[in-house]
Amino acid sequence: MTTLTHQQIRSGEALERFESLDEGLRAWAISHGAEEYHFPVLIAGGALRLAEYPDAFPHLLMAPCVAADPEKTFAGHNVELCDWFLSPAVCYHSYAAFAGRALETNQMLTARGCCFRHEDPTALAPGRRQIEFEMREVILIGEPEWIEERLAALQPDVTALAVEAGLQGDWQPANDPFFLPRARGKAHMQRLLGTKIEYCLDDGLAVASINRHGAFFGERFFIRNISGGISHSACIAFGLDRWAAHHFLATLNHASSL
Amino acid sequence: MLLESAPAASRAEFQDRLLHFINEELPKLDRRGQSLPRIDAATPLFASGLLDSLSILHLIAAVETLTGEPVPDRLVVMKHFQTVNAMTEAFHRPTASKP
Repeated sequence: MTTLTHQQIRSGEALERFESLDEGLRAWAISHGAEEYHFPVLIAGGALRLAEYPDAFPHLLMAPCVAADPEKTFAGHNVELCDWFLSPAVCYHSYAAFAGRALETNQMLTARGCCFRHEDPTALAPGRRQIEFEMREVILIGEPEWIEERLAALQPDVTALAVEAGLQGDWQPANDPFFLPRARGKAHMQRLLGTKIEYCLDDGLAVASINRHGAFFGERFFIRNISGGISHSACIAFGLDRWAAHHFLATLNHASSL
Repeated sequence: MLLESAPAASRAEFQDRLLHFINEELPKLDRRGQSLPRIDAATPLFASGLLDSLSILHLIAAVETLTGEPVPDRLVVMKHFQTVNAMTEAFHRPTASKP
């Protein structure tokens, strides 16, 4: 496996490719009617608790902290948490943004953001698994039939966009990395019901995913449709660093084969 | 696990024991305390929310008991679990007779 550095993905020509890839994804989302949002890096603890993230993925959460006593050295023995977390994904912001609202129309959003996950240090590799990475997401909130109709139209586009970027792969059933052993049933149900699928490269690396949440976030954030029913949601997520890194590798391989 | 611990030898035995497990034993393990409708080998197990995330763990454990082998995650997909017929097709392997 070729090892890349962060600089190979995020500097010089590679950075231009990184930005160009995201611009392509952004333009594609907007061409399908998505409204662009910009969310902050930090997310309120209350929003993540509503989403039950700290229960499901406590091992991945990262949080900023402040000096417990500002008159003493900022060090491990002198820190305390504030009720903010580093965003583990982009889409949680959108459910918080619509919390308590009755939607007049189905909502399609797109946003790019930095995400942070406390991954196993021994598994870290730029362009494959990073503590900090960037995601472009397309988020759908609304009537379940509309969401399915949109996903049916968007999924082939995601495949085409990936192939165009030199990322050959296929869609596979997947599950989230739930922490507690008792959540293994949830993970299996995700695979069985196809609520999470990933576009994986030949080496198994996922570069995009489609996640159907059903009414999970709608119930927890009390988002209603115009009909009064609880909104369903789904998101399409693109791992921009993985996308850019493997586009770069595909370009290298193509050049070396000439 | 309330299944007999020995792996199922024949396809018919595999299917019968799996049906027995789902119809007779799984309802006792259902934390929701609800009685499950009886199923046959062709009944869709997940289409109507018949089974939940705890049930699937019990079901996988039952398959592992019947085969004597762990079920890898990659095989936990709907096409292998949608009915007892599908589970039998996916997981039953004829047992080689011992010399």
